[in-house]
Amino acid sequence: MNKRSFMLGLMVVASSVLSACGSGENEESAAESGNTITISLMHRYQESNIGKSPEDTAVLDGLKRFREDYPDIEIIEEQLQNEDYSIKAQALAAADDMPDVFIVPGSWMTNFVDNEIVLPLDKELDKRPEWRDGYRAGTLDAGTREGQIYGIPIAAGPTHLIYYNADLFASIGYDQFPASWTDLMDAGDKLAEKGINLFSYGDKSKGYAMSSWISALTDRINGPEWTESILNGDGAKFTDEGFIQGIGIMSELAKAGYLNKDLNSVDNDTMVNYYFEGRSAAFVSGIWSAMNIVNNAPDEIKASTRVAVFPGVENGLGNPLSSSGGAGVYYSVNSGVEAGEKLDAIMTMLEYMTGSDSAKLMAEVGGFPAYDPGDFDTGKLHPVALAAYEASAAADATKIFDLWFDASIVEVLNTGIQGVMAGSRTPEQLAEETQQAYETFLNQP
Amino acid sequence: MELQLELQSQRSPRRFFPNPAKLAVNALLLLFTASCIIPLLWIGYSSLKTQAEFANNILSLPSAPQFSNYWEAIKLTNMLQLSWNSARVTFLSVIGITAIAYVTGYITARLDFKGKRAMIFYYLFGMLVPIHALLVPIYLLFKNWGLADQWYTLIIPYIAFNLSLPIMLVSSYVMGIPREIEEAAAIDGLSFSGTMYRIILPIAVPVLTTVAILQFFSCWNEFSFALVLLNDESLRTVPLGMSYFKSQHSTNYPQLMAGMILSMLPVTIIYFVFSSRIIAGVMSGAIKG
Repeated sequence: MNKRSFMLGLMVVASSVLSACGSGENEESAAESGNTITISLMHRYQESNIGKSPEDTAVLDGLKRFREDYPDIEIIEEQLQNEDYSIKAQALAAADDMPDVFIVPGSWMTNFVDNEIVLPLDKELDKRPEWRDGYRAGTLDAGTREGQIYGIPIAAGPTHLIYYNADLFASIGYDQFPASWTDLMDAGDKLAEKGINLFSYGDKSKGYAMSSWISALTDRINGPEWTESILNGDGAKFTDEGFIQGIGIMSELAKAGYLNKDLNSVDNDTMVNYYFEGRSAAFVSGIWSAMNIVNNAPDEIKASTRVAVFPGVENGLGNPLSSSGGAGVYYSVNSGVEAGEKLDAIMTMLEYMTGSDSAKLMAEVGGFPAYDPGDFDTGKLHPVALAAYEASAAADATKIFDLWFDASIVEVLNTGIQGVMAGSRTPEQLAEETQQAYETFLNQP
Repeated sequence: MELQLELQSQRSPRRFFPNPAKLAVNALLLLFTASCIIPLLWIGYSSLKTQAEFANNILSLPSAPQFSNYWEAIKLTNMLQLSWNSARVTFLSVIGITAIAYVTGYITARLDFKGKRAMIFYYLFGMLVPIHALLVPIYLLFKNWGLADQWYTLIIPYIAFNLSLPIMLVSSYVMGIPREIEEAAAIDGLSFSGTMYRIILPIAVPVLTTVAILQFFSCWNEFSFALVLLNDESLRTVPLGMSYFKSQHSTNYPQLMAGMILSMLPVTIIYFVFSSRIIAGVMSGAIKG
């Protein structure tokens, strides 16, 4: 009970206001008039991004096909931009007034499940085994709580890939991306002599380090069992040597001057722009950056960009080629929707939006769908996008920490890593602070 | 006359070399001015670049101006619809704010009644409450009373949340108007409300203009209420429209900047037309005559 968060408090206030008003309008709006089914849908995919973002393109195409095939079903759709969606969804959730279908980031899922905002979908998915079984391994995980599936994933894909300028690396004697950390530091040194950063790095939004670096690095060193042990409270500690080593690698790159100095004050867009400007030879990011390069990079940069992942770590316990990834965002159904025609219609709509056809389209335009698209037409893909897709499909996806760890631990890590990268604290200090937050979390009743 | 002469005699003779202290202050102010103007210039010329050009070097000038960004921005956001929505909501809110602020400001300035201090404090308190803390309860109220998602939805919170400062401004301005004017009107047989509307209202026009202009900016740029209280896309306002240029992982900056310039245009024009009045209005009431 104590774990219930701030939102629950808001909901209590909200419900008391509701009862004070004594209005029955909510019930009215929930009731369906006659035989027409009305589905309200709120998501963060926008018409204006069709053709620019693979996810938006595929999801909205699915919705369009569904509307054509089921003209009798009315869909009241609200499209919002990513950050706007977060603000509005949290306000509506606190007011217990979410639409029928909405998007839930994996990191919100526990909260939404605990507060009974979302509906378990297992029974509905069991009716459609072919669809359910088409999802890539692990992509349903962050939408599952205590064995029940609460969310249908949309896109998956690694949050860790390295996009590098092959020409720049060739000019310092590397025909491919350095295969060991010693080589990587050597390359950093040679690039620094030319006045170029090894990586550009932008953690202004806090969370980049965790998504694209820490989750992958720690897995390389500690192996996935460590993460599981942390999640289950089975004895692994953040002060374990492997975690400190992972943070240490990042700290060394910053200390050696191989990253841009303004690393904590620039955002991801600027980080990618530094690469486009030739100020850095590489950057670490998710699969989403592939289409950014294809659409926006200067031609010579686009032509020389290749895709890699971090080198393996000597004596590391994890898969040396693993990459943090999986699905991060899910479609969920309002817990107020009852089984029947309407729920059926919703599931069909979700299959149109995230299932096989939509997945194929997403892959063809440069995305990495959660649903396995099987063979698809790679002819239209730019080599950079194809390389990113292939690296993603080959990589062994491991858990992205910010989707799995409790928000209190994520916050300490996100803030602390900025201090480490700025040189104001050591990896050991950060490990100690994170462990303290972790123990506080474990000791919660 | 004597005073003027005295002031003139105190002035120091012209020097060829400027005073270094003054020079330093001026340089500092110039730098400060530049820091405000340069970003605007940057937005202006960046709105004419291609996305690749922008990505390649964010500071460089456009090689071939892309006026199509503006056309795209208008098309993409349905700028006319957004502007019409914003204009309608803003215009009606400003009328409401100005009218209520005048009556309340006048009454608090001229009448003594029980609970007046509490009332003034209540209005002042309104300036201290952050909007985000109220989004959820207000959303619930609007939803339950059927006020959400209507063309007039935003007018209600815009008026309510923008009253504090205008009431203070009007009140202090009215306090500066000599009471004798109202006494003369009363002797001539004019009622309280007659005095308020027919005598003092024309005198208070400068401060009301200031109030109207300041609140125009505030309503035109408001984002949070517009986001939460409206679902219907056809009711969206200009600040919401700016989100069309962003996707989850990238932003079309040149088009966004074109959109920003277009959305700034009405407020900029209003500012330039009325800037002297805004300054005069803010100053008025500051010195008690």
